[in-house]
Amino acid sequence: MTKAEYLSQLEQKLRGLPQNEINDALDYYDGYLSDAQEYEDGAIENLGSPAEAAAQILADYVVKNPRPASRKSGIGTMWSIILAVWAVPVGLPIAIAVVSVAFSLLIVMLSLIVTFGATGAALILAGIVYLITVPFIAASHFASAVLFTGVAFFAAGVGIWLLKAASVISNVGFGFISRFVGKRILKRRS
Amino acid sequence: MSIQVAGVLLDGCVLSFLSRGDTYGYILTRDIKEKLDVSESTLYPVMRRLQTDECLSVYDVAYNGRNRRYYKITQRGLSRLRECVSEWQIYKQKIDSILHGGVFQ
Repeated sequence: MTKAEYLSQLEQKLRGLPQNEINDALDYYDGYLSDAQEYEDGAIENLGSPAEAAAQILADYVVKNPRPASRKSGIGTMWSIILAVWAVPVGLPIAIAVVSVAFSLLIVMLSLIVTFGATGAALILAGIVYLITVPFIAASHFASAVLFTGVAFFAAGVGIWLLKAASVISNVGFGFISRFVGKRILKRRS
Repeated sequence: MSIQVAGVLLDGCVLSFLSRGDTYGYILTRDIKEKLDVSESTLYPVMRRLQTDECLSVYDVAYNGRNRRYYKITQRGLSRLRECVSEWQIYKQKIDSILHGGVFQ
């Protein structure tokens, strides 16, 4: 292999990198080989393959420029896993099973979120309504007014707690489902 | 079995060689290869990384109708080297205390 051949193979293997990265690497190996040929016979053979050099450069580039991390919520991950599985014909029967299970889990989770959310919202609303009635009955039934105030805050408190629970369920749930799908598929593949 | 030198340690080795004087890629690689089991292809990304981090600067010298690119350690490179030397001392002691603490003293 001549120096020109080595460099053109290296260039080919580096395709996809930014042009300035490619140029810098080619410059370096061009200079390196020119010097090496003055010092030793078979300099190019001693250097190792262009593929090896390219692999190191690519690996270093990937480490320095990681792809932006995907969204933290499990939804994005879940979709990419589902799409990846559907894209592979071999995995189709498995994909159908896993996706069906994941889908039913999703439905269960959504109904839980809706139930908790609606109950929470209703309790908060009830608390507000109770609080509004307090001034009207305070004059005639003071004890009832105190009781109503208490009930109002209690209801609103429980309501807020339920809304929190709904949001926790949605966070944990999406994560769980994406992990579930991921684990099933990785297990089959390995 | 051979121990692989990589990462910060290899950066330090390159900087150390260059702290003794400017040189070009081929000579640097040859000198390091005399002592360590590393390949040429490992060293280019190291030099490039050090250059991006401004630990090295480069200049070209005309030679035989072409340019030879010399590497020179910068102030930043020197302080990186100093850090590396002192961290290696600590690390070495830790590894020594573990390895020599076993059955093979």
